Amino acid sequence: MTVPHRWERIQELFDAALELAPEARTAYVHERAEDSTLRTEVLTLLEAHEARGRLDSIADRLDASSTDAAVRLPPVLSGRYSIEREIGRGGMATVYLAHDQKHDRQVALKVLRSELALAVRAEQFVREIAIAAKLAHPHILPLHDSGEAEGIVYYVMPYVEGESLRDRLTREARLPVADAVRIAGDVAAALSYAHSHGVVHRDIKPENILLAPGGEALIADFGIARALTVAGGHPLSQTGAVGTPLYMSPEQAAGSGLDGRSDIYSLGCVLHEMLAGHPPFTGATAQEVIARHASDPIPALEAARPGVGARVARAVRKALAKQPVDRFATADQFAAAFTPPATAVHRLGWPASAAIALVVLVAGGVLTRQVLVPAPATGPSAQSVAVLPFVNLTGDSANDYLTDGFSEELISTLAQIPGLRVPARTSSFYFKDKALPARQIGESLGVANVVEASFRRVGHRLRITAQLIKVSDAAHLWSASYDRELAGPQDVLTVQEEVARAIAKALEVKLALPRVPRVENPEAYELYLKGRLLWNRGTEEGFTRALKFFTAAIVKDSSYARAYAGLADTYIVLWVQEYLLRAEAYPKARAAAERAVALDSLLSEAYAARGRLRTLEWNWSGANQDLRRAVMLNPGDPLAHRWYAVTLTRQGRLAEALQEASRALELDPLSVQVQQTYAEALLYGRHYDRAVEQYRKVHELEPRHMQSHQRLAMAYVQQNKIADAIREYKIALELLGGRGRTSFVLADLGYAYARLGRRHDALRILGDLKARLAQGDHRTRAVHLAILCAGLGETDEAFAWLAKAYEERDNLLTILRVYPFFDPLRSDPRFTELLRKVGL
Amino acid sequence: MEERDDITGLLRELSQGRAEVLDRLMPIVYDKLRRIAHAQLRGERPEHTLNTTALVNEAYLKLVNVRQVQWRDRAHFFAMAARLMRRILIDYARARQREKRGGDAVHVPLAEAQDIPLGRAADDLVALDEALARLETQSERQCRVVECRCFAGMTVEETAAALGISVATVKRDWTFSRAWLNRELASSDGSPAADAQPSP
Repeated sequence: MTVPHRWERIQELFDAALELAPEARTAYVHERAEDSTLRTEVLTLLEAHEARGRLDSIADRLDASSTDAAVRLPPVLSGRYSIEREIGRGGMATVYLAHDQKHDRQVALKVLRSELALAVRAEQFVREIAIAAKLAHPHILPLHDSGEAEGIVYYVMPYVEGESLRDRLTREARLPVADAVRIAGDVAAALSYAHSHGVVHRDIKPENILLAPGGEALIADFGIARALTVAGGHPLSQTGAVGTPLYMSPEQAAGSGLDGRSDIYSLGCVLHEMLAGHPPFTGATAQEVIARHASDPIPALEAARPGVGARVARAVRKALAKQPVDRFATADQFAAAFTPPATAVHRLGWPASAAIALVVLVAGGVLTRQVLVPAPATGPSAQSVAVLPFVNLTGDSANDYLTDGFSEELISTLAQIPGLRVPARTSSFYFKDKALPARQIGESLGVANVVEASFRRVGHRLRITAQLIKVSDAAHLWSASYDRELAGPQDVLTVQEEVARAIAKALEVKLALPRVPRVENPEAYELYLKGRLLWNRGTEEGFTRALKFFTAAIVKDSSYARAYAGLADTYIVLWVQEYLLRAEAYPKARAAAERAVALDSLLSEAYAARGRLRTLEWNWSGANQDLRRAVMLNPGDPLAHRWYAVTLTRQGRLAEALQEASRALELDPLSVQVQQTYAEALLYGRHYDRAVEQYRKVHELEPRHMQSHQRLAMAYVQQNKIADAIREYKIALELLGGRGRTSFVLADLGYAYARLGRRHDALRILGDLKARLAQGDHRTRAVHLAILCAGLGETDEAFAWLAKAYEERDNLLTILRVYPFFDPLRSDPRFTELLRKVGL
Repeated sequence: MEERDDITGLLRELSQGRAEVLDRLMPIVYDKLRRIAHAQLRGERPEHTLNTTALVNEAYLKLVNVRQVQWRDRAHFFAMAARLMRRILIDYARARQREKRGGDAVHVPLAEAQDIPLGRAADDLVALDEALARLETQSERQCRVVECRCFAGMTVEETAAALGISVATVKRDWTFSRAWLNRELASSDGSPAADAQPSP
């Protein structure tokens, strides 16, 4: 029984969280909830808010009279539209056939379901839809009107007679090849048009494709999915992305940047279904489907539909490539690939002269419910198990690294067993310290079984108790205890192997447990673990000590890929933070990163490290390639997303950067580094208000984080709050105590002084920096001087320094494109030339 | 006709703030609502919606002189009817459950209950009722909001008027309660809690 004021507090947090954008909610709750039970309460409520639940079904059963909605249309709407009857009811909206009095025509009036309507920020929704509403194409169902009135959010489109592709597939299962190709061609034409206008549909599926009596296909709901996401109301699928998992591209499910090629992927799935009778990737749960999109081989269309022809099969295969870059670049190209050359397909062209005689067709297509929550009919594959974070009950927190490391290693051991699906560490670790029953966790992760374990002390020995629980009925399939005197690291590995083998047996999976290639040496493994923990702290001391541990791990085991990746990571960050000189750090980082990749070509961290390195080398395409790979190999690892975000930021791809950073934030909301990356993307994207807000959040987490003070100051400068900026710079300098990036911060401070008109102070700093440079201080660099000169308006001198920086291949030039303090120089052709040379 | 006048008058008094008339109003409305529900629902297919709003509407039209009341009075009526509708449906649902289970005790089922085809909805309704009871101990207001929205299909404005709170509060209460109930109902769908002790 909850105490009254606690109930209010829960609601307070819930309401406040809902005010924020979806990606920021978790972090908000983490930071504001007074205790972990409160946190769990609010987070589970936020989760329940997003999906359709049992109450909604019951409410539907209780009261579904269509006429009542008509009765309740607010005056502003009822004056204009008169409702004739309900046409359909979908996951998002109820559709009514209505008469538009003003234009004297039949329309389909879609009213968002009430639970959605309450959650949506209506003006934003309407604004987003307006963008899509500008699309005018023969194969796109236009939007007539949209708005919000007295709590009802609605949009209006032509009433199209005919059926949806879904209806037809239900009737026919497989369509004649000619029909399928024609329909796909219509859709592709529409997509091509929309993409060239910068609009991505995001929710291409048979339910959204209407078939007019003449056979033409029309895409409906263009922009709705996006509008709902942006306006915060759309019930999210488990991955947080909008769209049915059956037709969702891997990058969309991963929540990373998507563009028109994601629609192409979806269309590929639809075309596949029209021909084969079922979509290319199915599964019992949304999680399973998503996993299959990401990693299962593309099914052969010719096998499912002999006679489809090599040309079409090839085209579909290419459209379904996992990486967008491997698909068709435009929808038109896709259409050209699957359209038989001999057939002159007469597609409705867009006449140069206006006046569209769009035949207003009458619609019968009923929106089917979207699969938003996994509804296992048969249940997840028996061959799946989640390893929950092990619980340290020894009473000694020094053993935390042991329990964390143990479960991590168990996860990677089990994940290597073919036929067994094991969610990644970060997904399972999300539930650490949450008081949720194993069954619920198992359902969220989409697995059939979970493994729980705890460590206790019994006298002088350590007792490890593990159990295997079946999710569907919480049956205990197996449990065991191991008492061990952990005299040394050897025992950890032995017990781990025993437990892993025992679990596999219980799951009746034939296990030839391979020698875990990553841990040749148990001592090396322990050293690596300790190194990572130190690295995660993000302080200079942590990094320096981490170096020692990673190095020691390699000494124990010279082919330990992860330790090399860790080493590379550490050298990179020490270099970038200017605690180590480039001459020393860079070669070591490079050697370590290459070695890691060479030793283990499936190690996400290796690619993440190398990708980051390539960024610093200005190898942008190489960096993108590596980081995308890192993300693909382990979508649950926040580090990969974070470093991808950093690279994207430098390249000026800020929308995508924000998406990647949000993803990282979702996965690791309390990480200062991740928060910082997000803030930086906002800052360089020139969203100063939000950046300031975000940097304040970082400070709440870690007030001594120097870089965020430096960047916050920059945001203030750009907002013309120079006094505030100077205050922040002083804090940053104090934190540095003369070490690390002092010169960089001084240069920025000088820029701020110059902006304020305190030229004298700016010049003083300039002199100071020049003196340091002259004295051979390696931490003072040409780029710093360039920044200061830019602020002072000394353009020629600034470019002189930049030229020098370029000669030195200074990695700091990676920020050239987005760093606001270079703004005074941007219009100069020399700047453009430099950008080109750096590859930006 | 006379009854109607009485009720209309009582309803107006109710909406003017004289809550004590509830004691007199409720039994009458309950009775009428139950009759209407039984008449309408019996013979319906189990999958069909129960259409409680229409039932409440019907009762309203039969009992109240609509020309003599304002929309606020209507709102109060509906709010009251919502509570009664809940009670009526739960009675049917429990009766149905008891029937299914059989059991030792001799329960005299509501004679009418056998006619009402609730199907699987019976379990859902009982679960909802229990969840609502728990919600009510935390916040009576939120429980009322849910009743108004679910059992009588009232709009946000009507609910606000009936309960004497602001529209914004109704929206917040509804968003929150909906999430809470969805969560509660998800974990009460029959699966046992998974926290048994490991075998030694």
